[in-house]
Amino acid sequence: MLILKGVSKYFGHLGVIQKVDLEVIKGERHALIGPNGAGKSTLFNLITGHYRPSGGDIYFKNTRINSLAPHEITRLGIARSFQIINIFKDMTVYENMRIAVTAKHRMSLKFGYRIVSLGQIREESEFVLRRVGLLPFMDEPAGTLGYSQQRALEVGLAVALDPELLLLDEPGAGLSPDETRAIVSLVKEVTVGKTLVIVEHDMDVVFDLADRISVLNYGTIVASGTPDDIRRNETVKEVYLGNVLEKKSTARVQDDATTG
Amino acid sequence: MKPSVKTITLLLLVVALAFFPLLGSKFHTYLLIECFIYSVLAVSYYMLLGHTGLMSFGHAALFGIGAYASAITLIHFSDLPVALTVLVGGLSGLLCGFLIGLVVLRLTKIYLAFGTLALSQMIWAIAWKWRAVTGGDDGLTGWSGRQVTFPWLGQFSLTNITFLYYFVLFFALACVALCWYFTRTPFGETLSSIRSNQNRADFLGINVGRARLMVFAFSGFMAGMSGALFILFKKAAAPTFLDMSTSFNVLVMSVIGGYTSFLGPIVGSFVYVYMMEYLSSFTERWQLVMGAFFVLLILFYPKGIVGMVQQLAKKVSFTKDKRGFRTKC
Repeated sequence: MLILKGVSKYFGHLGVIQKVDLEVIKGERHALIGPNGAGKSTLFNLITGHYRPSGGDIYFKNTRINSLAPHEITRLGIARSFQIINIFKDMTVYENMRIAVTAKHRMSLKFGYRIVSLGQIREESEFVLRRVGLLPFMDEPAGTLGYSQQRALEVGLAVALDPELLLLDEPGAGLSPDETRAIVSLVKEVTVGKTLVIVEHDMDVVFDLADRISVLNYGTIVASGTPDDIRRNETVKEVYLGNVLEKKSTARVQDDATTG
Repeated sequence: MKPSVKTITLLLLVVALAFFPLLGSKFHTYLLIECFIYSVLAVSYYMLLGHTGLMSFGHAALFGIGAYASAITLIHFSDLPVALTVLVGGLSGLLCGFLIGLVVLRLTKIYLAFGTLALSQMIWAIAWKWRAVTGGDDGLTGWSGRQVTFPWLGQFSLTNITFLYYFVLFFALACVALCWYFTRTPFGETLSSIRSNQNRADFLGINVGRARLMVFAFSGFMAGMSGALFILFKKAAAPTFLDMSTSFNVLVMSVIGGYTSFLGPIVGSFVYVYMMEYLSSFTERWQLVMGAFFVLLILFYPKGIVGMVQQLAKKVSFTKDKRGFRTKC
């Protein structure tokens, strides 16, 4: 569905992404992991047209998309959420959702009727808001919501577009384990029958959610495969997982020491 | 549905405006016409700045083009109904807005503001130099005695101030109503989303560039309409209409009234016209006083008069709660 062939991105001489080959298969949940600064967000920015690749090609449904603008790529059926909350903060939660739903219906530039007269837009907006648990807050300015609710809205805006391919950039960033779990179950629910690429640092979430995992390190894909493959992969252990798992075990030892 | 306080106020206001020239003085009738025209201009500017978040320092170009285009039409087509020349002004403003938009809308923020300033200064220079068409420094005149014929109502002269009042009021109400309607359409909400967070709008699949171009053209139409009404009122078109001081006057009106609300620029244009009139009767340096007022407003009430009233109203309603305690002050 989404194919990256030798994609590179240089900022000056700095190769943030170097010759990345990646294929996302229709219907799978694909996780992208890697240490900080590995280029995960940059890869998202390349796919969604925020940056143009310095080299290589990106294909979505057999269309070459690397010279398209973000809104054109979005219209082809790729929607994304952002690592740093990126919503319409001075507008109400309901307006936020309505903008996304209107965009989905390609009605954003229509002026032949008033927006409140569109029953379907209202129903769909309320439907998505209910789904992300924000219906009770629909009339509040989005910027006044709590952090986890803003996160839910962030994901909700992407979900409202009903995309074929959903890209989520750390939907659980900064959330408590409980809140993360809620977001993850939401993500599971809304991506049934869709394709998902998710960047996430919480390994429990990744191994729970993903059908396939790709590991990014210094701008290159060092491994790609099923969760079991990745867990066993020596290189991955070395560059990333080992690190994380070790930290966890030392933390556990310390915990035991303090409680015991 | 129970009519709200807002609706009643609005209706009373419209009725008051409708009967004003029959009861009020000529002097105020005259001033109110100017207020109406500037209201249209200020609302057209609101569509850019307050609603879409596009800062323009070249709004005079759109106003002036509308003024000149309708003046030229008035001079060369003496049979054309006057109402149509106003529309000609609007349409040329639309075209001008579209063309300026094509050039400058690749810019944002302050760069956009200065891009529009540069282009409007170019148009000003053209009006100044191209004597054959624009009359240069002398400007254009020659329609002061123009008769306007209405079926059933009869013939009126443009010098008839009462008639002009109603003529301008009709167009101003229509323009303002149209702008209000636009802010309520899907397109209007899209414009708000661009102001709020252009980046996210882009990633929702909204063609931000096209939306910005459309609002520039729409704003140009409204500014052109106000320019066309202005020359019916002033009976002349002059290069000063295209001057950058006109652009800044619109900005000042918007900020005084409160550029973030729809009502703000309208209130601002009324306050501006009346302040200009009364201050200039005291002193030649009236702009000094206006400037001080402007700075004070920005410092203490950045959302202008409308924001100030809202803030004060909130304070009053918060002062005492049900038990009579002061809760917030």
